[in-house]
Amino acid sequence: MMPTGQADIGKMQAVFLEEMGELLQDAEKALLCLADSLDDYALVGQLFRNFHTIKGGAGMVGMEPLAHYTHVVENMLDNVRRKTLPLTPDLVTLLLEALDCLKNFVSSAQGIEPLDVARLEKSHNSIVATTERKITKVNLSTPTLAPSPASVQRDQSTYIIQVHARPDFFPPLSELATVIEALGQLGNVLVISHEHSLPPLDQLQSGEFYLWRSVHLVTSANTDHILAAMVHWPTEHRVEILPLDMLPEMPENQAQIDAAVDGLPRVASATTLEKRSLDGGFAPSQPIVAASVSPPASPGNSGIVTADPDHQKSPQTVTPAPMQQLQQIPKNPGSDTADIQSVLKLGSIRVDTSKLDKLVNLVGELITVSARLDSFQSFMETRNPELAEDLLEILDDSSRIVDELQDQALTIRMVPVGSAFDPTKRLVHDYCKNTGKKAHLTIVGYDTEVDKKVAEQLSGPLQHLIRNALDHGIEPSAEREMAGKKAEGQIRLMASHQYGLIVIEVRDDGRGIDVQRVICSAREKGIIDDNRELTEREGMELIFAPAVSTATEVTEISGRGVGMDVVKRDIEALRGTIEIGSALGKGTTITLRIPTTLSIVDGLLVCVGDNRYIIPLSMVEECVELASDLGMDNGSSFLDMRGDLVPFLRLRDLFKVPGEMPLFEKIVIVSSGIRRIGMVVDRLLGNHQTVIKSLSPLHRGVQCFMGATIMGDGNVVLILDVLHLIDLGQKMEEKRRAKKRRGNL
Amino acid sequence: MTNTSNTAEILTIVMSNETFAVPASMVLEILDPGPTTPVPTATAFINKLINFRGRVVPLADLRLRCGLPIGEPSGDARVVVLEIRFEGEPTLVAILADKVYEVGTLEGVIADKVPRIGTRWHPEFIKAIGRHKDKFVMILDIDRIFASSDSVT
Repeated sequence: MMPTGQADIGKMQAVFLEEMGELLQDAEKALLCLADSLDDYALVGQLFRNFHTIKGGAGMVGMEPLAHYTHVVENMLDNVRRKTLPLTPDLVTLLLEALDCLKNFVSSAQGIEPLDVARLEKSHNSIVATTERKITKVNLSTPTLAPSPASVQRDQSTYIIQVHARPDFFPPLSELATVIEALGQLGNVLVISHEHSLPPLDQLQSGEFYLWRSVHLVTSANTDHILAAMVHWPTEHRVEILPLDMLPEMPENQAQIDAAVDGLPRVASATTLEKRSLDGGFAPSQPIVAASVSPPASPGNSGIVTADPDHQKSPQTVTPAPMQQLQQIPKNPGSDTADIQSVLKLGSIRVDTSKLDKLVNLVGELITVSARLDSFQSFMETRNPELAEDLLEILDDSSRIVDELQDQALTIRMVPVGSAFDPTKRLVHDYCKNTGKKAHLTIVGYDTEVDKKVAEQLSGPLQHLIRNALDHGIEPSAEREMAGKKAEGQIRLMASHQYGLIVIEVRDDGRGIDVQRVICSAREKGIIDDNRELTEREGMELIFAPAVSTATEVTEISGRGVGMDVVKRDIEALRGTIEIGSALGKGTTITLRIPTTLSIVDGLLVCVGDNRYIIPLSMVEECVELASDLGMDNGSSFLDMRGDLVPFLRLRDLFKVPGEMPLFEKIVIVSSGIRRIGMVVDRLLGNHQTVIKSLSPLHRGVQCFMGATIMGDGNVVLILDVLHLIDLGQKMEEKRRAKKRRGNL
Repeated sequence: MTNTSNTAEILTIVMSNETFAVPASMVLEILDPGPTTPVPTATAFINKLINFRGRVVPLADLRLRCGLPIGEPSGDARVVVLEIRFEGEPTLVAILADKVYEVGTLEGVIADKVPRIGTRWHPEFIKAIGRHKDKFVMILDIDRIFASSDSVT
């Protein structure tokens, strides 16, 4: 069914590895939830499905060792699922270790790191050992009777299970075989293939899957067990389970089965599921048990399904009674299935991000062309006012569409910020396990949208912040109880949107930061002058200075005095800001504010000489007029900002702009925490929102600019790299001070 | 670049009254000079930017790079957009030309090595001297011109 050339295997492997990465992420999420609630068997089911899918895929792409290892894990999970193996924290740890091993499999297959065979063997052996410790050994492979404890007392029932694969997806036969095998463990199985759903020749869609199967199953298990045995099929494909008390015995031949199955509705299309099931000859009181969303059906109570020979012949006829029934049942289980399927059909596609970038670039071109059209229109007004008027109307329409296009193009890159939060869950779990501290992580605003690149680059700094909270913030349980706090430390990670920015708050209820100690530490290390008085806020900002730490001892996790400065730099690289607030004994809150997209910058357009520049607005504190006497005074290198001395940088000098300087220059005060400088410009032109273009690699050496943008008039304008300019300003300032000191001596 | 330039398609351009050639396969487009944006602090020969179809592309003045005299700007001036390889990656760059002739076939290479004496320009940026329509043309070593400047200055 799936002819695969050798050349395709590599490609399939790459696709599989990517999917496997996602499955592992899902599994890790589920596993960490499970660690919190050890009785959530729905999660076990999900985990089982994740591992099962990995196993199937690994087999398909020929990664046998991976398939084997996953099989061992799956086997253990199967025992957990059947409650023959207790769900313990140790087991969760074992599974987390298994996840790490599988991640190692992925990265070794991608050539990123070598396969850690020793670790794999260890994990493999302990999983096998744990699996063997199961409480009772129920031999499930015996094909005759394998009653699960819950259904022992029930008589055998007969089910007809209709298995329709999604028409747009060819399921690997191995997967189908696995499902059939699992059903075989519940009882006697007969599989029949059908082609009734084959439409007339003129309606055939190439690439669609029409063959379906029904499974005749005599079992004492109930529908829940059957659904469980079918793993993810009920959610991914259409599966209908009909109790058939009509046929208590195994049918003897194909003809009997056909007779029974012909009574079943025929497949028209995926979306007409509920209509179909009522159209058919059946009028079941518990019509269809489909997918896992349905209420558990007990075969004993469900009505006997009778076939009406007339309706068998004319499946198109809609009998009035079932229609009423349909209206009476507002939440028909079938409709849920249809919903799930329509979602599955809509689905999503993988797109190379470079294609998205290209799209954004093209939109940028379109904006430029529109601007040219606009200026042509103004030119036309002088020649032919009437035509110019008409053109204006068209241009209005087009610019509206272009604006919307730009918004949409940027939206495509958005992902939930939660993907950056996920690793922190594991971090908290592992930390608590290793240190014995107790902490609980709450996540709010998981779905807040942010550019994919931002989400990716946030992950590292967030892990650092959470590590800090665990290590320095949260106290040991005993200490917390003494202070009248809950024994379990609380960490909250919260994301929300505010004014086009994503705001992420990391809050803990730990011991807080001792500002005085930070200041002392900074004094000892010579980061600040001994005699300079600092406000509380300034003291707090010192946390971000390199080599300041309040940790009295160095742990493996953090506390080496490196870190917060790196976090700050990472956040600023995203054009974001970081703010810290802390109350001694009560906790610390760190707030990050980051533009949701790297593609657009809100900027202040300024003029220096004949040229325009953009300063990212997120770093602008205020704009003031430079008093001319101050500007002329050579000796003064500071600006007096309400008692604060701020060094300033004259962009005219830096950029070597020739010509007369204007009478009234403006100063834009930009800051990055405690570091502030003033940038002297000629004029302020106003706020401007623009698409950022990166500079050519040929301009890599140019450090004053972080990128460029194309204005409405088609001209290129450079965006200032404020962080670099602050560094530059501070360095010039230090030089000046050193010179002055030498002069004094 | 491989040495197949004997019969290669070239674009001939004029800079400071000398005729130069660039491989035609590199040329994306020839534009009329438009607005440029200076890049302060950038190396002098490549200190401008242009908007090439929504993309920000550096504009280089090879006369500065090759040590050629800069004359009065003429009405024939053009901007040639090239796709070069910079550190192995395809990169866009535009160069200024006093005049652009046409795309043609190089009739032959006269010298693989450029004599160090008797030239006004920096010979290290000339890959070879070829003949085109009974004229000598200097074939520019474009990739070398834009490669990290440390090896040349």
